[in-house]
Amino acid sequence: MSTAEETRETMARHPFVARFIDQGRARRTSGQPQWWADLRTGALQKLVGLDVPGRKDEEWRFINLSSLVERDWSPQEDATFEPTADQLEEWRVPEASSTTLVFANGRYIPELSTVADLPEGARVTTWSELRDAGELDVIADYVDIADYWEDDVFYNLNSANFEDGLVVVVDRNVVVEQPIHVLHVADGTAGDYAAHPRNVIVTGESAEVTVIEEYATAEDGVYFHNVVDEVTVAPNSKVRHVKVQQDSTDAFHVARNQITIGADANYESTAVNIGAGLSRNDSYALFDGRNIECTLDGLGFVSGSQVTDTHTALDHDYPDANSYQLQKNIVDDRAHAVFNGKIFVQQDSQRIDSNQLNQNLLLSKRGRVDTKPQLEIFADDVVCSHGATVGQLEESHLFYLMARGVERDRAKALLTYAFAAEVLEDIVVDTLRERLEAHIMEQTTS
Amino acid sequence: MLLEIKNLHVRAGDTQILKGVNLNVEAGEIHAIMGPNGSGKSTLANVVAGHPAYEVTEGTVRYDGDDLLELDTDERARDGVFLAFQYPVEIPGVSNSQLMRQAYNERRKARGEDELDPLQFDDYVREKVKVVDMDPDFLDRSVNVDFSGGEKKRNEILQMAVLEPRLALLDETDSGLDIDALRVVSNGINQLAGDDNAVVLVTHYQRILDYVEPDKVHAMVDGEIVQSGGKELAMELEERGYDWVAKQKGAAQ
Ligand SMILES: Nc1ncnc2c1ncn2[C@@H]1O[C@H](COP(=O)(O)OP(=O)(O)O)[C@@H](O)[C@H]1O
Ligand SMILES: [Mg+2]
Repeated sequence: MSTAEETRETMARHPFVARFIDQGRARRTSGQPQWWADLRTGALQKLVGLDVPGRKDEEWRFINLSSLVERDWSPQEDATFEPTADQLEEWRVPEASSTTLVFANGRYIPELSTVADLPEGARVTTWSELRDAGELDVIADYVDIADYWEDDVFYNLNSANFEDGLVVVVDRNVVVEQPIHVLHVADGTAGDYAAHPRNVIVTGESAEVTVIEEYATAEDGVYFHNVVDEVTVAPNSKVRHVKVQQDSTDAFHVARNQITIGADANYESTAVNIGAGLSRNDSYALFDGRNIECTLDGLGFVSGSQVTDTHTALDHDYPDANSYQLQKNIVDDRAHAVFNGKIFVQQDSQRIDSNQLNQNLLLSKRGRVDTKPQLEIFADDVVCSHGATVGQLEESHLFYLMARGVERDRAKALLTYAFAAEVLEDIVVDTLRERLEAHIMEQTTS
Repeated sequence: MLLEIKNLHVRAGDTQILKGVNLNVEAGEIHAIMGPNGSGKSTLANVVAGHPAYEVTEGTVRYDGDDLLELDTDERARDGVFLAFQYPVEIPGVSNSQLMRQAYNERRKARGEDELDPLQFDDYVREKVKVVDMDPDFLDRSVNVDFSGGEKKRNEILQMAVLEPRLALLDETDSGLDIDALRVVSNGINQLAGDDNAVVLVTHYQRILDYVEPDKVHAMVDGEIVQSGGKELAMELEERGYDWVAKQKGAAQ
């Protein structure tokens, strides 16, 4: 092999990737089971061949990643943040008071976390705690399970660099009544850091659990959350997953969500993307059995120069499934919202009923919306409905409310809230739903 | 004078719709404005409520002595002007009670009264629901969404009953109602009507006047009030048609 070729194989194609390769190589390996070490090594090797996506990539053509990839990101360890209990007050979810895990700038903070009152057979913990206890093998089978993300640069950056994240394992027949709240709080003034949370949620047969995954900002500033979630929903079990992303508007948030659903199981998720200057949230749900119900709803609310991009892919691999998707985006100022919804129905996956709707509300003239449904259907007994709308607030609605004495700004807020409410109303955790509803009202009135 | 309209000329786009309307309404009175389709009745009601589609090119509208045209729609409403819409819009996601509580509290604030919290408002609104004989379930439903025509009209009357306006303009609230609904609507109007407020009924059917006794009846034709009188004018209009008043007016000129 010539020297030139060797260089090409070991040098990353983009400095953004190279930096993360260096950081990944420098990470400690002590306490890592072999499978984790292999995952990291594999990702590091993979990354050498991966470039950052550009506009020419179909999956990325609507957004510009330059401000993300042209920055020198430090590892989260260089930007520590020690929040006080008071600082977290506004994001506390009372229903989850005994099951809240706090991460600050990517680092787990046990002193501010509470895990108690769980039923026998439900485990709510973190990678770092499992590593310290030598028990990481409980999740070995549920990490890096889908090849969908094989060539995805962000997924591999996470695999090469992650140190921690939420772990929820609920055994067979166990029902966890209280929601589990994982709160990632950020201090953006601590330096341009990148954190790679890796969250793993696993149920056993007929189990049930609700997880709230939240990203919140204590101090605005530049940082990069590069998240991977891996959710495995066992046969006949149920997972409710609420994601709330309110990162700093100077920050970047990229998430890859792998959802694997077994027969007769039900996965319901609501992803709320309000924060970050640029957020990209991708979910891939693999229907790995018959008679599955899956709901992937989302709400994006962006203003200023924010960009939010949601991609979903529902892969119906077995017959008799129902899937529902409602993605609503509200776009103000010069902001930009993107939605891409893929629906795959494989051959022999008959009697699939799949509904996808993307509705966009433009509050300004300069806002921008791109939306693209993508259906690849290889079975014949299938009902797939899909639709996309882009609209403004109705003048006739505003006039009606004003004719009842409601001020124009307030009427706008009420109507914007009403648009969002259809997504938020499915969040079963009352205090969280009310907090988000109030937030939408407030943000519209300001 | 509660409402004093002088020589009102109104245009929408290039169309001149009102061509010099004069109307005086005192507190304590009930007026009926009748006229054929397209004569400008809704335009008049909408202009008093402040609809942005209409441009006043000439004339004045005074409300309790103040220039009403200076005020925004929401300010007029808080001051006690109420328009029951001919075609109430459906507003998905905004519940009826949410809208009414917001509206009522705005009105209370404007009168210098304390706001009601959701529980207090609930007690208040449930009494009003009885007036219009509506199922209380309607309170939790989105404003007018999937309401029948009659339910939408009742809902307008419910809002009027809640807000207790000083000047209520009812734009064909009686149209399309069966006799039971018409009685309910009339009852709502009669409960509101008192010495301190006034009701202007826009209609082109004389039937509601059997239930709501008007003090004055006006005939509107082609953007003008061509004749005014008492209840007997309504009978006459119904018998002889609007061509008759239009001709009378032509003869008088
Ligand atoms: N917003 C508008 N723009 C243009 N023309 C209008 C508008 N509103 C009403 N008009 C016209 O003005 C005339 C009077 O309408 P309207 O006030 O609705 O009459 P009525 O309520 O007496 O039936 C009609 O010819 C109608 O088409
Ligand atoms: Mg009309």
